[in-house]
Amino acid sequence: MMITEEIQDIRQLLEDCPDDLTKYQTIIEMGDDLDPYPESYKLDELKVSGCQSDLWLYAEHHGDCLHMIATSDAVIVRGLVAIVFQILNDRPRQEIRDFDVALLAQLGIQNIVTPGRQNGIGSLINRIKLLAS
Amino acid sequence: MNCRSDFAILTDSPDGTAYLDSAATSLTPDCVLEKVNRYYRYYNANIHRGIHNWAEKATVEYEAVRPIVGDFIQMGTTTVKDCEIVFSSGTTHGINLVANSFCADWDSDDQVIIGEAEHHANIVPWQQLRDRSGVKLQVVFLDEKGKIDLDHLEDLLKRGTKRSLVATSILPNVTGILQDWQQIGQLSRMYDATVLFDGAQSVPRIQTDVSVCDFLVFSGHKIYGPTGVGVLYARQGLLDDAPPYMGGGDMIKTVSFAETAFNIMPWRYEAGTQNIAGVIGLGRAIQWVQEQGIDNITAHEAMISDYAQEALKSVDRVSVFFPDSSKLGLIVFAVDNAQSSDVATLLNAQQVAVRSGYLCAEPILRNRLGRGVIRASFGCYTTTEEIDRLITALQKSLQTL
Repeated sequence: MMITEEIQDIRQLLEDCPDDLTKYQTIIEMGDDLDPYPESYKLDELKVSGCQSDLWLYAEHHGDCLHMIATSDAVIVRGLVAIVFQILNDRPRQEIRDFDVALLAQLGIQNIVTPGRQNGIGSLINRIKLLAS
Repeated sequence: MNCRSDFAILTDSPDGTAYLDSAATSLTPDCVLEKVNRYYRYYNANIHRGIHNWAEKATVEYEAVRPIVGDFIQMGTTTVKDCEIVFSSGTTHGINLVANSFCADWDSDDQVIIGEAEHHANIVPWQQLRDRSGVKLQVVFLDEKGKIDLDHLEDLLKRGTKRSLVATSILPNVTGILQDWQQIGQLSRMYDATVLFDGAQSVPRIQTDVSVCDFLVFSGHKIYGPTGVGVLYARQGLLDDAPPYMGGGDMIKTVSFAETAFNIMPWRYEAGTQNIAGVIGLGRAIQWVQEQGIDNITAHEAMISDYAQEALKSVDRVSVFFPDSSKLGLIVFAVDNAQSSDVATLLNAQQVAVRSGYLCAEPILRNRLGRGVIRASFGCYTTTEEIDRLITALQKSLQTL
């Protein structure tokens, strides 16, 4: 699926939620499906700076593509990571480098992802782009 | 206590938020907004400089706040003089001022003693002093009730250092447990230690009494006043000859390129253009508090704190920090198997506003709990209905987390 299609899929999923609490529930459930993250990979150099939670991200080059795993002590953050991964994980590195962060606005989650947290997602994407270069 | 009608943010088209983060900043009553507005609307001039009408009025309004503050923080027969009130940008500024000016010539023969539950504002400046000048920094631990262990404090005071400064919070923002501050003051004095009290959380909630301390710091925005303004009370004689922390306009007597003579207290420590509107607003805020009656505020906040603590203790998976100690103004808790920012986010989705994380008090939380927490904190406008909303929202959140 193309990146824009993934974004629309996720947008639809969240739009179907009747209220904010259900949106968060859906996001948390998406985080439950993340691949396991080994305890031994919870190293300082793999931490992505966040406001009130810890987030670790590990990436490998698989051929042309970037394969990532990540985790957080906060389940909502894990859910947001799952969303980012659905859009960007296992894609060619060039695609990741070319990804326009502004497209995330189409997810329609601005009202439940605070500016502070949006900055956190911004940091995450920046780290991913760095890893893809 | 019925002061909600004084707050347009609560009464005019309220957005339904149950605001339980007053320890971070309190809401501001309309009369304070009006007072600040009037400065900008009618006599928007600088102080201590011009001789025109607006400048004179601004100066009079600004200087009039000193005796308002002094009157508010004294008790009984103590009289606070105007020269003992220094306006600052807040508690943090006040502490940095003392660390840099009063302790300017301190060294490794001297010590600063702080408590285990201090806010970063009352930790970092002393660490910087230690790193700069070798001053010893000691930490007094809390007893099992969450109070400064007075025996431990006495041990540290006895240590035969040249000079000692005890700097501690009367009501820590991370425990909500009122300390035995008068005893701390008296004990410290017995050993000739200088005493600085962090009154950021206590001044808005209980009657202050500076007879037992030498320095007191607090912030305007936590006592129903504007942001960007605070007070350092400095007992006469302590800062009069110390090197000023900040240099610039107004803190001087005369300036030449060869040398400059510094001003007298309190202006010696008020360099540059102050937060004039903020100070004027602070004055009105303190008057508003006095109109409500500080003892009424204490009683109301004690009632709300007891109510909240009982209610929280009855929620499954919730652990209150120091559950057996009564709280004033704020309650800190954690939830088993739920991260604090997750809980706070879901509470926010139900329009309950609390604080989460390390509350600018990392040392005690990392040492004792190893994780972030949630804090619900109160003002004189907080109602039991708002606490009920917190509990309902918390229970709902814990169905997901």
